[in-house]
Amino acid sequence: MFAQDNKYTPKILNRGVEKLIKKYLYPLEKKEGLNPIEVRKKIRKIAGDKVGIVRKKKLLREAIEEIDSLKKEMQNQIVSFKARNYNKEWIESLQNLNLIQVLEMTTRTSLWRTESRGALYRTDFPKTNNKEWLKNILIKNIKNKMSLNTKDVIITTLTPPKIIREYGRKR
Amino acid sequence: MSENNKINIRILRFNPQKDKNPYFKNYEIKYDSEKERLSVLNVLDYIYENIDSSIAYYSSCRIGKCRGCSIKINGKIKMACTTLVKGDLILEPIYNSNIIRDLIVER
Repeated sequence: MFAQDNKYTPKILNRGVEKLIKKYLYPLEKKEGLNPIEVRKKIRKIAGDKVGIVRKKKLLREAIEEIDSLKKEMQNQIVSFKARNYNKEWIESLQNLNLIQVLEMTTRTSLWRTESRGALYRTDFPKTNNKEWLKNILIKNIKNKMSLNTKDVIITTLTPPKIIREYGRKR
Repeated sequence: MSENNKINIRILRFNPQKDKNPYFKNYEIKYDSEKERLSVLNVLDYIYENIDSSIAYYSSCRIGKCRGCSIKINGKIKMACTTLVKGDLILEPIYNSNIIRDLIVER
């Protein structure tokens, strides 16, 4: 409150702030919508069944479709208990918005990368492909859609051999 | 007195914006301590997801490292995630002062 009344505080002109406040207060103010606990369960189910440790093209495709439909559904989450001091449902509803974004990023990038490397294992591409995939994947937000790009890895001291090799085994 | 397949959980509830005094609220869940192995945190999660979503508690790592879930269990300070449930429970916040809500305190 002090900061608001103080004359030295610069006025916030950006309209984005009001938009964000509206977005974050939505679950507290509206009366009809989805329960964040149910949404969290759905996210967990998608992530556990389809974007697990062993990944497949088919399951990843399905996961993307489900994520897209869930993303539209979950915009109207509401909490049943309107307190603002550590309201676990409210926190969860806000976390859900971020979780679904991270899940979409993981799904899209593991579908894009046609090899197995490190933490990513795909049954349809079980080998590590150093010829094509010595790259990082970058994600950019273009008109609220994720667009993927690759960027070459900067190699400093050790140069990995440019071959296709078995996953997980030292050469 | 707990029945064979049920345990009684008493949680100290307090919302400083509304309530004058803290009060205990009772919850009952099905649990057979000889067959099942649940931690106190699992029980809290169960109550939050199925019975009463207004309880407030904090947890993070779930493996006994971060100490975020430290609460008073039957009068002793323990971590909820690594303490097994063996019977009736009384859950209180870790300190008596600076309660934000229910089991959450200012640290």
